[in-house]
Amino acid sequence: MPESPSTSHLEEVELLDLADGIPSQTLRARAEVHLDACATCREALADFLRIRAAPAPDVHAARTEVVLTEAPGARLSASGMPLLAQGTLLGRYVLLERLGSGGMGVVHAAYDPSLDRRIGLKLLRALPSAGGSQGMTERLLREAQAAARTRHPHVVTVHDVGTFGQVVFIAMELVDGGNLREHLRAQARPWRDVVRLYLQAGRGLAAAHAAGVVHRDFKPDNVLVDKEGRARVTDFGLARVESGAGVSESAGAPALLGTGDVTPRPQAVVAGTPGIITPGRLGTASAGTPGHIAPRVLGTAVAGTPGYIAPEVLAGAPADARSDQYAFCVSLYEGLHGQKPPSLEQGGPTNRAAVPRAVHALIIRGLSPEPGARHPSMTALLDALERAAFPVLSKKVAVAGVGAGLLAVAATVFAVMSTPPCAADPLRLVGVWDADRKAALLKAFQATGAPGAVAAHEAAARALDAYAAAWHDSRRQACEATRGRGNQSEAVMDLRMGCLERRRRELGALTDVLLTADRDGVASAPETAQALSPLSRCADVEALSQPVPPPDRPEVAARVKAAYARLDEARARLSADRWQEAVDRAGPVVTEAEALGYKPLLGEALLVEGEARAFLRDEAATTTLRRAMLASLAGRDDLHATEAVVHQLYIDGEVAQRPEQAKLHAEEARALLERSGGNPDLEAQLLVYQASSLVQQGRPGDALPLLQQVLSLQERLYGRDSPRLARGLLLMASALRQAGRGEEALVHNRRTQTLLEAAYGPDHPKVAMVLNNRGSTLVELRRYTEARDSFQESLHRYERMYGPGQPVRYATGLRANLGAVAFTLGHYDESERLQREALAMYQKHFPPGSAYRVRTGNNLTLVLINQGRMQEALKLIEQMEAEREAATADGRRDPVFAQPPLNATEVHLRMGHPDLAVASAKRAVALLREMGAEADLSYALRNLAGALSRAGQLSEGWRVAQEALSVHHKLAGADVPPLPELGQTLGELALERGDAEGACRWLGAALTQWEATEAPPLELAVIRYSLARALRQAHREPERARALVTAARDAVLPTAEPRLLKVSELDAFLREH
Amino acid sequence: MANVPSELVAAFRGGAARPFSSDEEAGLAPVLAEVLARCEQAWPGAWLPSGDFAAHLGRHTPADAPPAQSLATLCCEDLYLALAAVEGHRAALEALDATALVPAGRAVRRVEDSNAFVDEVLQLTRLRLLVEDGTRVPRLKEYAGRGSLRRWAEAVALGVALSLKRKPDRTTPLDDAVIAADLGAADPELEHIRHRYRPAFRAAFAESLAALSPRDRNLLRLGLVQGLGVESLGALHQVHASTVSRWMAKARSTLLEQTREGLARRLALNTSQLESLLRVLDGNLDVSIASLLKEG
Repeated sequence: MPESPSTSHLEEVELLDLADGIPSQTLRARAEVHLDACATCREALADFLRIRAAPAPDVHAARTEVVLTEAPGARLSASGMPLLAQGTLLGRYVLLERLGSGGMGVVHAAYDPSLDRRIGLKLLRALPSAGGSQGMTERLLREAQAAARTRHPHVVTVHDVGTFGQVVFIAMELVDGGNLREHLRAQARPWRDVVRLYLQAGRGLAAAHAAGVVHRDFKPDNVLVDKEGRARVTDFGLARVESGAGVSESAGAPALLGTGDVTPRPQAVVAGTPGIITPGRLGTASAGTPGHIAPRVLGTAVAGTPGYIAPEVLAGAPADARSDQYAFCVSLYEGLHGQKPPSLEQGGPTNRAAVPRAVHALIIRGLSPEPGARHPSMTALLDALERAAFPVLSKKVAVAGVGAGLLAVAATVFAVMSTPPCAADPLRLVGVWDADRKAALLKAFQATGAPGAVAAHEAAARALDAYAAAWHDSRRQACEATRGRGNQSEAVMDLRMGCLERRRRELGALTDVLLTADRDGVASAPETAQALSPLSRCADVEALSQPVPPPDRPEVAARVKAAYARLDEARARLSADRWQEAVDRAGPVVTEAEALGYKPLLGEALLVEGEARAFLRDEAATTTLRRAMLASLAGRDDLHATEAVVHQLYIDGEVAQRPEQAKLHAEEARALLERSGGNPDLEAQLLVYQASSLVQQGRPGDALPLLQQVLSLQERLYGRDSPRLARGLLLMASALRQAGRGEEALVHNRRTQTLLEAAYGPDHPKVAMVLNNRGSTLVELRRYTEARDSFQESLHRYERMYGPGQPVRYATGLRANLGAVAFTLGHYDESERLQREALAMYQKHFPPGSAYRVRTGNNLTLVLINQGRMQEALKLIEQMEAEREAATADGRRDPVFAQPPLNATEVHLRMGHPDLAVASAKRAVALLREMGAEADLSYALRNLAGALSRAGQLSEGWRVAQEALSVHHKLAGADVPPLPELGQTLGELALERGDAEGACRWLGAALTQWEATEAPPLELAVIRYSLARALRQAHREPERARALVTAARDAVLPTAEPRLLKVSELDAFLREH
Repeated sequence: MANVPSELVAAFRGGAARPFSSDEEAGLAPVLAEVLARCEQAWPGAWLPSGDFAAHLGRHTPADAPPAQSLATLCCEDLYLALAAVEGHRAALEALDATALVPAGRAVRRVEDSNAFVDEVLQLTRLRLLVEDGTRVPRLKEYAGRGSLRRWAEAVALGVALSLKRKPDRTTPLDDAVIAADLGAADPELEHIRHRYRPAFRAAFAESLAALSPRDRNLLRLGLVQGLGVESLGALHQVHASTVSRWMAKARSTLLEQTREGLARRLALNTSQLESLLRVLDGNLDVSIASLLKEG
């Protein structure tokens, strides 16, 4: 080569070695230097890397061929297996010690960097590459890959399958233990123990059958028993290698069929004989069954181990689930009697041990020579076997009601099995939630003197009783899954029990909180009791096994446990709506968790703190929640991380009005949910907050479909009458109201009130909140008196619960709403007083730019305008504009920010500056368009149209009014008439454009609508005058026109200048005839 | 066939074109005989005169160790097949197809899963391996027996497949003027700043890029410019993907930090001025890194 090694381009094979991660040291060094300087080779390497990472079209080709990093001298052992040194790299695996070997292959321990753990690497003997066995290899690989897809507690997990040259490798879980044959041989075991282990192995086999995988070589040697005593099936589909290799090699050495002799021994780790070939085992399997070499002699590729192969398979039929069943029954018989079932000539299988007849009969049926005569499936056999061997366990439901005699029998059986019973122990919740605590709770409630204490107690106690019952149930299920059915490992049971233990503490802490409740606490007690963390999560094994396990060191573990206990107390306060207390209690846990460096705890503690802050409407919550999310992610606790994101969504969507942020959080939460496999509770909550953010932005069209989804999800989860539906229903009502569908909104509102009152009684903060929302809808429908009553009722209920003027945030809001109604009813002084109070309060508690401040400021502006105090109004508008700027800088957006320019429009119109009015209205429209706030857009467009009409831009005004109309129909539906304001504008524009007939029609309809409301005469003055002019132009109903103008004149006369209408103009109309 | 050991050794020496000590020659004779026997057993049919093959072995045996030892590290059977194939023995060509090219075809399927494509690639690969092309010798002559022939052929076939797939425009670096123009249209202020500070930014960037280790530079280029995932890069470096992302994060932050410093130095900006400049640039920094790395 002319160039020096580092300058010449990399050759293809070098690129391939790099891409597969197996370059020699020299190559790696050379590549590093060369790639730095050579863009061509970088690109070529990138292509190779991409190709090797790409999923291959075909299962077999998908497997990367693994290549030795050592000189491929490929020294083969006598058996055709490469002899590999420790530390050799095979693909991504680093070879560790050899665990065992046999005629078929060797097993090494290996390190898998991508899983970061020790695995077993089984290398199967080289197959000649020519002709038919090539297809053989591929078939084998396909089957092994299919088996690899079977994930089951009683199946050894296969991580990867592939080839290395002509050798097939299988990367599998390393099981610490021995095989079932050795396990049973090590000491005599009671027949029930034997059956129990086989039941477990059988379940693994059945799971594989369910996935369409046939084992082909089931036998005790292929069942591993780990240190916890769990049986697991291994070597699915591998029998083929054996028979294939055996036949093709049959020229020379006596080939053995079956894998029993060669089963590599991942389990040999414990046996302490790594690297030792086990000729003894080679002997046993073949020596015992000399007569069964027949299939090889016949030259058929029959897979399996002599003695375990079903007769029909020996006769040439393909292996299937029923031949696996046969092998299973041979193995079980062997396990119970110490030998394989004798053939019919030898007298057939007999029951020589103390095995119950029922069990024996089941095995005999499974051994039927005719496949059709066996059990219909493994599952059927196993269920029957379980019933026959463990009658009491299987009849557990009946036992519960029968009495002490039978329970004693059950206990004996359990004692024989030496496993503890799973029976519910009612004592477990003593001192947590029991009859005494229940009675004490009633006393405590009554002592507060709160109204409805008895009813609150009843509702709360009912919820706690249900929770306690569900807790016992969950605990029993968790126990039985391991101890009874045996389809769950001890470790998983521990996780579930740990989770349930925390729920128990939470229940205790919550009861403690309730016992110290004050008057407010009593009112919300039923809701508090509902807020206990759901027990269903304790059964979610996948989620439970995610978080990083707590530290093992006993003193640290004890501190973690103590910290969780304190966190549960904080959580109980959160559930009881004692938000500040929850913050105060979670704080120290956060500090402790940081000191311990245990992320899952830190995440949960921050979550409790952040959630409580969120309820306090404290925007700082978003920082806390973000930290919570990060900590939970670091602790691999997806569910709590998701919860933290969902609450951030609430803060940004509803409290801080940062829709962009809210959207990001929603996406984050959705991705996390997807990763953690979903959680209906959280999904519903996420949707609710997303919808809430949209409602806040005035986008009912986008919010409504989400809310439909929420409601159907929640109805399914919690039932149609659950108070948990309230939030979604309320939002639905708000969205409908925004869309101009007020009547429907009222229906949803009513439903919310009914279900909340049924759950919590009439005096509950949430019921009061519903009444408030109902009032807002009524205002929209212009049923002002009803609205006022509703607001007052809401305020009344709050004050009954919390005392006069309490709670400040809600009471002030209600008074501001009452002020708004007073305004619409023309009581300006009262309205101004209430609005000013509210504004002062909001300015104290919320930052500049908060929607609460701006909304109240806007209302106050309107009061000022209608009192003719234009300069004051303009000043206030300016203030509100400044607030909007502060808000924009802070990333907040809310349709309410478009109101100040609209108010300015009104001022300019009244002061006779239509051009300024048009400019202001345009700004409002632009703001709303940018936000996509359609509900408010229609309203702003109508204002703009009005201003344009006054400015003489009639055709532009008409166009804008039409757009307003189409937005309205889009939201409310095609047949819903527009609000009277819009009808009025359209009519007035028609009038200006000389379309007198059209004007009469629009204005007449709008006025009819207006008159059906409680709008005061002043509000109707303008439309009445407009209609009068339209009538006169159309030469119709002169008397009605005069009457309309007279009414308008009477209405505006008492108001201050500049008036809504010029009196001189009206007088002129009346004089003209 | 005159398999006289001394003749074999002489041929071998001729191929290696270097003198051997007598000890070496003595050790060589039985090894050569054994290798030849193995090859002829693997490929019955005596495709090659043994002298020719011995000379071929001599050419490809690394000179840094005693020849008998070096010989043991070579895939001699594969060398035998390669030489026979390139000399045109029909049976050898068939064996080459069956043992090397057909399996290579499977790997090629990952580039594009169609029979036509695979056929085309294999045909081109055969040409490249076996046929002289102007001044270039058949590639198969370059096969030195250091790895299995099958893998070597697979690599060549993949190279052929990839070059077939590679679009001609992929090799020309993207002109980031396009990106800049796009950004400028969206935000004139940003465009102004970019124009004004671009040269300084570029210089500072180039400087800090040069200060990185070759490994980090390559990681960033493969990751950001070629768009490879951490999984692939992990395979390249034989480390876990999370390690790669740690490396990359570290390299990136070093790069950014040093660029910042360089920029501040060049423009004599104080911290707050620099911060505000970077705020403008920050959103586009990823684009910038990718495009600058491409040029670098």
